[in-house]
Amino acid sequence: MTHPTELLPGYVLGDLTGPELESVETHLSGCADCRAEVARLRDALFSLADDLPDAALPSGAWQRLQARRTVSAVPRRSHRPLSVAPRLQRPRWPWLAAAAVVVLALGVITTRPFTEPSQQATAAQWEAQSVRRVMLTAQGSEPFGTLFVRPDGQALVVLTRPAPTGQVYQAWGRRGNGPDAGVPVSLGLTGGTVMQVGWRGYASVGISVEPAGGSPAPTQPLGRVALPGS
Amino acid sequence: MPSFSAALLPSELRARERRPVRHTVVMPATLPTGLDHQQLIVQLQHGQEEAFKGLYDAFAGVTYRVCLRMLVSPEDAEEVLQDTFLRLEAQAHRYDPARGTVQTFVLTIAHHLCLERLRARRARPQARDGAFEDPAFDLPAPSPPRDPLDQARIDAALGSLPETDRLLLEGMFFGGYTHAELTARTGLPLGTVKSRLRRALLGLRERITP
Repeated sequence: MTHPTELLPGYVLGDLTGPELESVETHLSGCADCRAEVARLRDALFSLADDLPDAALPSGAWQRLQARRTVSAVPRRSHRPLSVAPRLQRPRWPWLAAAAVVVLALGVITTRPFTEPSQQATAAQWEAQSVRRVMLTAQGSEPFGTLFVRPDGQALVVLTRPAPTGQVYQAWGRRGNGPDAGVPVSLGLTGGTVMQVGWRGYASVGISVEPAGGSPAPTQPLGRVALPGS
Repeated sequence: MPSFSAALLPSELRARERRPVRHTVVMPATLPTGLDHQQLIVQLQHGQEEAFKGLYDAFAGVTYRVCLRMLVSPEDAEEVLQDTFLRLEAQAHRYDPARGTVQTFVLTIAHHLCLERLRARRARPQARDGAFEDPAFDLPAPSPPRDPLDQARIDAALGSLPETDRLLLEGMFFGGYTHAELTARTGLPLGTVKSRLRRALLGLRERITP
């Protein structure tokens, strides 16, 4: 594989031509090394902030922020699957970005309760797509679920039975496998049996049972599977 | 295009060459690590109030400095600081450690909000034009009050390339100027602007991960 190393700074700075941008994005979708390099370059760009002269926060800034939080009283969106961070690169399809904003806004404004799709219907939809299917199995016991892995960085976790009363399932991503697996990062949680998670950047996905609301780190791990290709 | 008429004395040039890169280092009692920040953002995803305060304590300072540098007005900077943390709370689930540090995630939000304000300002008619009046191009104190893009032209002429590259990058990042605008303001060819921006970015990358 040839890495477009010389184009990555331009990608972060947003100065690539259309064909260059397309080729870099295609490469990045399948190259963890170059994605890591882009992350380093982005961190480097924002390290410009580290050289700014000191400036004290205005007195009472935290209190005024708290007041705005109280006034806004925006319904807290929680436990959403991991997605991508905002980036400097301009969106390639402005109308798509605008549509996403509208969808996001509607998601915040509407109060319609979220209905979890049925396990069969969701799994069938994913099976119809080009996904890899991985069994979730605890050591020495029956499979407790299935992981459908889509090449676009999304995966669907389907558990065989609901979590015990008052508890939830929580998904975790790790950057490596074995002893170098690294710290688990929460990918999302569900009180039901189906959840969609973003797996890009991780080598494995694990599932645990946690108290309602989830935990900052897994407390009752059920098992972990390596992602295809990792 | 701004004009440059002041000449630098050789002693000033030598002083500038010796000027060290300034790093603002604040040493708290316990230095939080990147993993601590990731832990905080996971906790914020789960609605834990203390995590929000933890992230504010960790990043409000640097976020405010970026906002102040870009917008100059302390009132505007604080407003964007608030907007940044409100958005962080709403979008914590979007953080992906594979795409950068938590600080980069927070500053990306702030930077985007500042750029929106800068572009709105520039879209409005202005009484005066010229980089000397453009606050986004002030050099960080205690540098002399000279327009950095004029400084870039001087440096280019004198061969002090790293400093030129850095000033261009700061003009793009803090000033929100496009490559074409940098070209117009400096008189440098577009290809040169691009290559110097890339070189400056690679220089910063070497600094954080030699």
